[in-house]
Amino acid sequence: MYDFSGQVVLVTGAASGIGRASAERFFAEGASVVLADRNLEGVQSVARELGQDERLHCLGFDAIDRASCIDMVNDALGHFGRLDVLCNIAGIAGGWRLEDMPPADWQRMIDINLNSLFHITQAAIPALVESRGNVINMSSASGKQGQPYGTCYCASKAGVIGFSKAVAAEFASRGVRSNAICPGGVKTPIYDNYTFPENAEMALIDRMRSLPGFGEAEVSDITAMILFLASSEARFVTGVAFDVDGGQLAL
Amino acid sequence: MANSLPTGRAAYDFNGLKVLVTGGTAGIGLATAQYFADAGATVTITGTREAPQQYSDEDLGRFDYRQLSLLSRDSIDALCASVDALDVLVNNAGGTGGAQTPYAFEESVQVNLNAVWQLCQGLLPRLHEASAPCGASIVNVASEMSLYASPWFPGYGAAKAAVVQLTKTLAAQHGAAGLRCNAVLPGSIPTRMTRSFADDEAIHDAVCQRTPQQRWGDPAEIASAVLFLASAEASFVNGHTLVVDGGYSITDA
Ligand SMILES: NC(=O)c1ccc[n+]([C@@H]2O[C@H](COP(=O)([O-])OP(=O)(O)OC[C@H]3O[C@@H](n4cnc5c(N)ncnc54)[C@H](OP(=O)(O)O)[C@@H]3O)[C@@H](O)[C@H]2O)c1
Ligand SMILES: NC(=O)c1ccc[n+]([C@@H]2O[C@H](COP(=O)([O-])OP(=O)(O)OC[C@H]3O[C@@H](n4cnc5c(N)ncnc54)[C@H](O)[C@@H]3O)[C@@H](O)[C@H]2O)c1
Repeated sequence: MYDFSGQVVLVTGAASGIGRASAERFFAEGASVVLADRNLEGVQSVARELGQDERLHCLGFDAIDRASCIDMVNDALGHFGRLDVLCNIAGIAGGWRLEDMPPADWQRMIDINLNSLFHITQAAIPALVESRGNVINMSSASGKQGQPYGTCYCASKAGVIGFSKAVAAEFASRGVRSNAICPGGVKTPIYDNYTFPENAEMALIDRMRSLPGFGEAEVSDITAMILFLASSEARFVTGVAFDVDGGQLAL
Repeated sequence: MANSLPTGRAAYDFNGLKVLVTGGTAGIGLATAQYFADAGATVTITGTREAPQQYSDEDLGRFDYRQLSLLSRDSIDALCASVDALDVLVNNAGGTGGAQTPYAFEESVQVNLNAVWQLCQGLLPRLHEASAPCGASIVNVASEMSLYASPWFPGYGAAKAAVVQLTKTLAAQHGAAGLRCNAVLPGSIPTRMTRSFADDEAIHDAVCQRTPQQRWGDPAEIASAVLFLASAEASFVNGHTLVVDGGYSITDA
């Protein structure tokens, strides 16, 4: 229903979940897509399922590492020669009791969920200025609400909103838009490895789970928002953190 | 504008759907009604005048037309009674009442807030009967003055802020039944309502300067957001206010 033909979209986290579904939908709507992920085999298998089209390009990278982020962007730019939409989607989740959280886990999550946006966007911004393109950053309802055992995840996702709005403010006059999306819990593999800490107070978790819409979104609900924001339909929308949560944050 | 705007519109399919856009005779409402009609919907618009032919600047011939005064409870009730099927309600009619002659506080709250509630109450039964594939929904038009204070329009600002909250309340009340309610929050858009500001070079330029995208918006850009929120693409978006302001609000909390 959109026409992204002639446009190049870079999607991180494209091996799984929201990133994968976004890459598939951008491809279906005509875009050339760079699928980047730590799991190179994963993105290669997505590309195989999509028919190994020449509009697809797979790249392995590790978001934890600045040099790897920059190399990935440069490789993407070298391959298709332009960039119209950057989707920063790769990320990890997890819960810790504040008292017990190991500093190395804190650092790792902040590096992947937040610092990688700085590295990737910094490397990509000249190409986005040239194409008058836009950036979509994956935050979370956790970026706006406090969640028990989520000190690090919430901080990383709140940071994503701040980063996204600042990019919008800094680059609007050069034609680049930047928006964030705040899903309220989507059925994806991210929760497969998610465990609440031992001795977690279940009442706190149940209160969160009882919010309307919690955990009920499908990936297609999120990709629909990503495509709208990426499209020219949203050309006057910038600096927004968009809730896709079935009303969770409204109450 | 130094550079041309990105163009190209999404191929929404609202075929077979019934849409009511209040205040569809001009500005944002007309742009929204046109976009819905282009996407195949059957669109009813309202205006304060008796007949659509009385709006000589615009060709409203493709729309079903009803007279509506938001100042009159009887008029609102009559409109609701005359609607026999509805999938999407766009509460767009409203305004400051003219830059120089603002509505009195109570009048402005009636037009911009109470009437929205009254129309929703009157039309909810029809919306709950709807079987649209995208699910029935309500889209309210809020305002930059939902967020910011203006010395000129106390009733308008209070009412538009309340519309954001009412949007959440309706989302909470009706979400379980599959009816969604969202709002769009337009930045500065040149329409009849804002003409005296848009025509004043100092005000026009001050808005551009304060807006990161450095321009006023276009009614079609608000229509884009309304159609997105009403479409199946936004089937999990509920209670949200979508800001379409070229970044005007980024610099604030
Ligand atoms: N323009 C902006 O910058 C801006 C920004 C934020 C929000 N908004 C909101 O967007 C909506 C549309 O405004 P617009 O800018 O498109 O203004 P507009 O061009 O003046 O259109 C206003 C529409 O509302 C109708 N209307 C006004 N007062 C009414 C009343 N008392 N009873 C019934 N209908 C009434 C008008 O009908 P008639 O043609 O018969 O008068 C017209 O169809 C309003 O809710 C406004 O508050 C506008
Ligand atoms: N699923 C939800 O409920 C939800 C809610 C809010 C926000 N989010 C956010 O959405 C994004 C995608 O989540 P998802 O649910 O699709 O998860 P997912 O686990 O299905 O996919 C995440 C992808 O990111 C990749 N990735 C992780 N760490 C990486 C690294 N260091 N370098 C490169 N790639 C890496 C993974 O390989 C995987 O393919 C994340 O940022 C997540 O925080 C998800």
